[in-house]
Amino acid sequence: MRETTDDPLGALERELVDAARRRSEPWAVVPRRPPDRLDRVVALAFAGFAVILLCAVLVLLAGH
Amino acid sequence: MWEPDSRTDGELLVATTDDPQAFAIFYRRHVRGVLGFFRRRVLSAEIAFDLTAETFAAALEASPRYMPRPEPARGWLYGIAWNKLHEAGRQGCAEDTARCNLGMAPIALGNDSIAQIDAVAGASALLQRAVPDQRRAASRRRLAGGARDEVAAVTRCSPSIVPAPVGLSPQGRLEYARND
Repeated sequence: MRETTDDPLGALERELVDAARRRSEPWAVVPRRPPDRLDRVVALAFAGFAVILLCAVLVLLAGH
Repeated sequence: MWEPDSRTDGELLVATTDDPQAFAIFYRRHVRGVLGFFRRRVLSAEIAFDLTAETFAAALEASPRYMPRPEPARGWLYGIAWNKLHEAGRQGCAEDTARCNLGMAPIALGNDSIAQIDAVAGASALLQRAVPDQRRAASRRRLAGGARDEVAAVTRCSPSIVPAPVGLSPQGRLEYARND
């Protein structure tokens, strides 16, 4: 959602400071948009794969 | 209200790489002057604000390459402003390349915003504090002379500025920004 403001100079200052912070602290980057459908599908697939891998390891360990 | 800072503009630009607030101080010192500079040269407050935002974004983007020099950094800033005005006049619309590169969110202006911009720019025009540096920057870029008082043929804002329709209520502006 776009920012609606009656204080444009203040809004611009906040945007500039956020941008400066993103440049000075690249590890502290906050995503500017919520995750979309594709992001969620990829995350779920990754989580499912990790669970299957964990189960396989447990089964192998139990076999020994 | 913010505390005065004893650092020079050049020192603030050099410090920006590690201290984002240093750029905020630099911005507060010059935003009124830059806004007045553009407001005297383009036809609408929205475009003046658009170009101001792009100028400061370009300054932020270039700040890691800024080298301290004897002359005030204000001249460097107005050099960027001149370039942005010249480019916008050539293309017919303000650009938002620096803001896009920095990942800055678009700003939707309300009716009260326009009044605020005009008030700030009007006050700045009366003060005329930045004119010597502007002239120096202009002569460096061979834009001096009549160009200073010309109105640039900029007809559109960039996508980074959303001018709200005139007469919309605050709730209406919010809906407008949500739907746009």
